[in-house]
Amino acid sequence: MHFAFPPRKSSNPPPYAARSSRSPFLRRSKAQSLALLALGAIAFIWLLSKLFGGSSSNYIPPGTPRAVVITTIDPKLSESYKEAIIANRRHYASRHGYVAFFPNTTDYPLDGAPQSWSTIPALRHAMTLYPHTPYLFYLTSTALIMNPSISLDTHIMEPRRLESLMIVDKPVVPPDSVIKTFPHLKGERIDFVLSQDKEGLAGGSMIVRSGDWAKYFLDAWFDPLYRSYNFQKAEGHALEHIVQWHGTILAKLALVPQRILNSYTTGPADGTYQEGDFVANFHGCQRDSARDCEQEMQPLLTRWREIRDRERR
Amino acid sequence: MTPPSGAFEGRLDAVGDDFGEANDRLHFFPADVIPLHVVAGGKGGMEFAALATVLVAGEAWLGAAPHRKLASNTLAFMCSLTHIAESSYRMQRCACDIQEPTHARIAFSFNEEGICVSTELDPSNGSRPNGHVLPRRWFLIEGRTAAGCALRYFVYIVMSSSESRRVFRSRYFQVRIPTRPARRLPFALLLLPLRLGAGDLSIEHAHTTPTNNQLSTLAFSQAEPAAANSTSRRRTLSGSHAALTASFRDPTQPHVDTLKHLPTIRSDSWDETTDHMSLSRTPSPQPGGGWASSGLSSPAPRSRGTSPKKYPNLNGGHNVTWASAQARSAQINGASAYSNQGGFFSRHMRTLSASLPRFNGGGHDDRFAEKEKLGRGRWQANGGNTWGNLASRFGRIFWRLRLRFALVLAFILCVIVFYATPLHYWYRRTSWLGGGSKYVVILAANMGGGVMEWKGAREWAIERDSVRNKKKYVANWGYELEIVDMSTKKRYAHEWRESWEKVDTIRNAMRKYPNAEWFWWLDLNTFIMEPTYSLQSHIFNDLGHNTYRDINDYNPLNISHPPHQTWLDPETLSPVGDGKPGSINLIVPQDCGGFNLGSFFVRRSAFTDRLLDIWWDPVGYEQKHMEWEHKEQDALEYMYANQPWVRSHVAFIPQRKINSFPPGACGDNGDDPHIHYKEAERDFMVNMAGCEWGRDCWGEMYNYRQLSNRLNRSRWEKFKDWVSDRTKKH
Repeated sequence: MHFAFPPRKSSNPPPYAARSSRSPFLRRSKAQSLALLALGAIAFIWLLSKLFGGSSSNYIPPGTPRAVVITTIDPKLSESYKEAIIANRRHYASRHGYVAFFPNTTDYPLDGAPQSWSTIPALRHAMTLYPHTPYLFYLTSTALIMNPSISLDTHIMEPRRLESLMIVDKPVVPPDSVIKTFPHLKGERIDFVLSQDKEGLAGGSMIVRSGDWAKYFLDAWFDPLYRSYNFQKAEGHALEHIVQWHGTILAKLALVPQRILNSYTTGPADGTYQEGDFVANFHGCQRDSARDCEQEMQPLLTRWREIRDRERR
Repeated sequence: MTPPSGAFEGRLDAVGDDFGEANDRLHFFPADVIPLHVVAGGKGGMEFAALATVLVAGEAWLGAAPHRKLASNTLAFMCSLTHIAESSYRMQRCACDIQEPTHARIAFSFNEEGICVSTELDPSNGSRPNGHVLPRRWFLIEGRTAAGCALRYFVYIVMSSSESRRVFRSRYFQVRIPTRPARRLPFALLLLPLRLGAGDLSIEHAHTTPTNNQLSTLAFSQAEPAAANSTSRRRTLSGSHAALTASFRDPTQPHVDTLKHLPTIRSDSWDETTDHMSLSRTPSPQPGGGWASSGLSSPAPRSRGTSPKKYPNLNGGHNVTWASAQARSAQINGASAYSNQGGFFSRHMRTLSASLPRFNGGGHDDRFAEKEKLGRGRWQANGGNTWGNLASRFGRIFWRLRLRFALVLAFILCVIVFYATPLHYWYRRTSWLGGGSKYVVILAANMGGGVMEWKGAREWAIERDSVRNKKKYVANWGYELEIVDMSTKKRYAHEWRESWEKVDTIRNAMRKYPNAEWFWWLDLNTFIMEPTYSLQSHIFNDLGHNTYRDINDYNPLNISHPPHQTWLDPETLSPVGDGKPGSINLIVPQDCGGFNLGSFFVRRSAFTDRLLDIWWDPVGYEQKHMEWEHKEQDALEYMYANQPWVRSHVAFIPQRKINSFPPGACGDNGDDPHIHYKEAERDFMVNMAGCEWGRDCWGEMYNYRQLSNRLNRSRWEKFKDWVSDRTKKH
């Protein structure tokens, strides 16, 4: 038998020898439950981040206006006219918690193109200034908001409302363009709302949903080659051009009846302003040297002030 | 009464002075051979096949297997109970608790200081030795529960190897006392090595008088009727549960002097014991001391289904040590306890250390007689043959690691199966595994050909080579290949849009492969030089680092970047867009003259939809078509320069990553490190751009094909080439 000789021992051995190996820091059962707990915690955090993390990427800070009302103003206009227009937009914006933005038409380099092209960088500028604001509402300086109680959301942009409003399968440029608006569009996916007048797309009043598509649309619209192409109606014709030639723009476009967004004070009956319409547009008053916008506006301006003052009371 | 002289001589010799002065009186209990064995069995508790107890300064050494796995519930071969003195009172309680028949018992006696001075073994299941004489200092460790009792109270166990004398592991045990009769326990098998034929074992014990308890010894010797000392008591174990004791006798050893100091054992003390042991179940029937041995009277062995044949004279005529007895026992049972190939020990081979003490193989009586033979060395199965030894060692290692070997083998097998079958193709293809089906290679065939254009043999050959190259690459990695015949794209009635088909082709491919993400446009005059590069590992796994967003890194067109229009949003004005690889939707290489669309990537996304849509516009075309020599390439450059929204989604890739040029393109020298193919750096792709303008397309294609083949030879091909080169030289 080969038992070991024990090493030399003292006569008074300690009662119990010290343990040579310390007990493990974590017992196995404890480690198991700890691991389970950690796993559960990680899963919970992951779940939370999945549930609420999505909102953080497109986080909208509180106080963000729902819309920016943009009017490009020609600095050569008379001060009273400018004041009237600005007051008109401001009142509307403040009523709905929107903001108004009034860049000058000369603020942006246009490389010799007509001043009206400044509409597009103005929209892009507004998008930069209010990056989380969903709607850019462009209103030309020849128009007045005549029904300030109308909100863009409920009146136009609410998807169901928009679907009921949009004119589908209609030639984009009346009367006989082969390109027609898409027949099956969802209100949620519309990024660009405007109306038609009898000549074509009425760009005097339009709503653009801000986002990647808006950047694309505005940048493409503002392409130097369009500006240098000498479209007869400048950016208006350029718009008609890209809408007809590029499906990714047409697919985001909704045409609404003219009186929803852009009633004209003159012209055919179906687009003519009537009391209670959202906008009254003195279309062409600036371009036509025989007309005087400020003078034309006076009656409706007075009417608008009445409406405003009545609301204040 | 004098103890059997032979029994002590050996011990004295074996121990010598090894245990120090303080233990003089005990030093004839050496550590290694005191053959006090308690057979202990139990389910879920400690089972001791052997309990070799050596009392050295109050320590009891138990045999326990050195391998730690054995310690808890299999046979203990050499463990030690330390400090039995301190825990002795517990043992006493233990002994009281146990009412079951026992098969062996150890008695320890302690002196006034609590030092264990005496130990006795009663192999029978009956008597209590000398209770009267040492009423408070005799403690019984009864039968199979004894060790369990002790351990139950956290007796410190040291398992040590008899050979290395190394403490393998120490720990406390908590042991349950077995409640079943020993015969029903499966560990009865453990008794195997101890099992001797009834009547073959006897125990001789010398006992001191109670008054001389400063030195009490117990020695056991296997009975040999002829040599039995008349003062010793002889007991014969019956039944296999009985403990085995073996003693040590070596009359030749020269330490008779020490023996003379041993106290004489008075026989009358035994008488007293017997008289006062009214509580013992089987009081000793024999006057003159000693223990009753009711076990002896058992007519037949109580357990073990094996045949109750007797083994006469197994131990006869030889001095027997514990080892020899065990070896003998193994012989009886057909194999050595520690090397038999079947049954318990092979099943537990994993848990038995290879360094267990091994015995001289059973069968040769003369081999185990001499315990202390020096120079004998360890027994080796093959007689010390080095190679055989090595082989058996490896065999043992292999056997011990057989599970791991099997795992490794299975893994290798899986790898082979994976690559030998189309499995790897489907793995690489599957979108959620390799992701190969997310990539579409669009190869433009018949470039610039047109239906009316004549196509010669060289053009056909170029096309064949190029297509074959792409097909092979795609098949290797599970990508999709879309070969576009540009000549059939002449559906544009308006001629002025000729060769602007890239956009429509990509769109069609996107429609055709709705699940694909990246589309790789390749001109016909391209050659993938390194088919072993996957697009994922080459580019897309680390898209952010393989591409650059800021065109100022390399700006042959001198485009001012970032855009200068102050009214733009910060992301557009940033030179790198949002900087995240996820926003990259178009990957374009730049050659010496600007963007190069001979090889570029485009990703399925809303951005790409818009870009492809706006890419060709009649207004732009009308104004620029004379100027835009490279058509959509120039148009893209123009859009990049003039439409800020494009920039934040375009990334550039160093040209040589996907679009190396041959020396003929871009400069006359062909040594621009950013542009031209480098064989040493194993560029991925070669684009023989512009070869149709005054260069030899076919020649270039041929050369690059040969080069690629040579670079990507298999080891076997390299070897063959090497051999043929050598033979050619000579």
